[in-house]
Amino acid sequence: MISNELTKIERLSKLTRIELTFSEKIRFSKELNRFTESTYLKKGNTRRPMSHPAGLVNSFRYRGTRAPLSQKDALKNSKSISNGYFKTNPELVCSQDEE
Amino acid sequence: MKNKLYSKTIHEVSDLLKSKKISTKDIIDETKENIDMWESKICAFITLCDFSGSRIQKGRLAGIPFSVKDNLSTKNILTTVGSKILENYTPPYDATVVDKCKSSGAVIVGKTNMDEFGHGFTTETSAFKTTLNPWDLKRLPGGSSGGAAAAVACGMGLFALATENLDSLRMPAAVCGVVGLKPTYGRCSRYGIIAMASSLECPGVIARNVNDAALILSIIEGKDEKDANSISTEALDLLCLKANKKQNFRIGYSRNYLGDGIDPAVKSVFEKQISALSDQGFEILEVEIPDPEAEDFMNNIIYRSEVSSNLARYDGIRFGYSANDVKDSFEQYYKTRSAFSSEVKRQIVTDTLAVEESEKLGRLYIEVQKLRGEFSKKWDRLFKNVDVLISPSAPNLALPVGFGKKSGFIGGVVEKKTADEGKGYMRLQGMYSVPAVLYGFPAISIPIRLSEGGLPIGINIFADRFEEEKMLCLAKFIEETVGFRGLIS
Repeated sequence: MISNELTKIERLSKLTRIELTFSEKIRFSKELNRFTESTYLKKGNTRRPMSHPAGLVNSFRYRGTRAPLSQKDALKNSKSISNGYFKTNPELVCSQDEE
Repeated sequence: MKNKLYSKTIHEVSDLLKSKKISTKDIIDETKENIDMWESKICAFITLCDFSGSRIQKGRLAGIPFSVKDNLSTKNILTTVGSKILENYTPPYDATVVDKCKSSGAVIVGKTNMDEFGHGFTTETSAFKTTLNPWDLKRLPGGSSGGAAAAVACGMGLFALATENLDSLRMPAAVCGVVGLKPTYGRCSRYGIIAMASSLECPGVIARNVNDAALILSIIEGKDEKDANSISTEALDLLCLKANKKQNFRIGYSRNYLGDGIDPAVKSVFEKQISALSDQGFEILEVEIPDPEAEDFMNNIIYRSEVSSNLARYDGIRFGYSANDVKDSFEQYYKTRSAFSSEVKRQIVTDTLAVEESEKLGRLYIEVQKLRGEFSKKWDRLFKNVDVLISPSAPNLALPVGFGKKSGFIGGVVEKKTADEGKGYMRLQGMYSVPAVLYGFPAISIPIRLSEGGLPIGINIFADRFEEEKMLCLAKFIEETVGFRGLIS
């Protein structure tokens, strides 16, 4: 049983891109069934899913244009910039199969 | 001058400023004195600002110092969310609620400590430090807004902006002896909150008294075009608090609030308060609340699904910490995301299961949202019979340092005795706090007594959506009748 749970945790670790220590794997594996086994859910519940806690419906974002942050302000706090652009680490080719 | 302003309300300080009996320098000096006296002992702040030279804008909060929980974006001020993964993140914009306070003349003192991404109830999961409770330095200030509550309790700012997700704002306010106000979901803009559980959390206020909390709410509320979740509503009527008249509210409470796990001192104070309200002529009704265990389940699925989704963005490329010396993108994701603490890793990994299992269980998240709608109707019916509900704010007094880890909720060694205490604690705390976040109700925690050992005990009042005035009027009435003065000597 525990090996099934560990396999599941390892798959989740890969899915979430989070490295786990062995003790974390053991600890987290104990929680896996806690939230998916429930008697509260009914089959064929035809109620509409609640989309907003205060009942707001059909709310749309403003579609016009607004004054954006200036380039200077947008870049001001960046740890690394180059020629007026954000500079990030180069995108690296994956050497492993992510799945 | 020392500590004169600390005992006053924002209204009183503003009046003194207007009449030029004090200057903004006096306020700033006293706030600095309080920071010098307290910060090294309680560690309430992640970032302290140099606010002595701040240019004071005119407005209802001109010159009033305040602190901001570290998950609210602040322009050009470090915003870490208590996490190593954002330890170098400085936003180029303000959260709307922060902007509104600054535009009204308030001055930011600093960014307060919190549990990492709000995952915790003690501040012990912060990647930087644990905040201590100013009433007893061997105890915790609650969480996740523990830094904000402790800062206000010590006069390091006259109010704080924080956020509520489960019990993140009201519980710390209660155990630190200050007022915690969570408005109706949508009343205040969420724009600029570093998102964790988007349909549950909303910004709120920690202040020294009900009037101050209401004043700040009246400033930060309102529809915001940057947040499609925000709602246009009538402005909060502060005059209802000035009327100072007892209104005939029907007050509901449940016996379940006093179940196993509650501290006897909290139970006794709550029962006495119910009895006092009855003697004062309020109609007290014992009500049956909808199934708390089902609500806990719903809250867990929604919270976990939204956390899993929101925290997926920390990839080391767009912002925040980025791992170096990696051989490919895959390793970069892995190593960057290792900067999350063990507790946040636990949340993300197990939360992702909730999302993944959705497909197998008929789209779990959607099914739970249906159930949430069904239960929401039950609460609508309940609020036809009562105007407000009251409960204790927290089942325990301030918890001892280390409790979070010992109880197993945030990792560490699980001891059976403390684990059992932890379960009782969480069950009751969920009952007091889950309905307000799950259905968007407004709620307020006010301190009413000190325990024999000198620790604050609070009560929690919540009302139907957009019924803040009722809730605030009752809170003000109770505050005045009990006469609690939360001043730490």
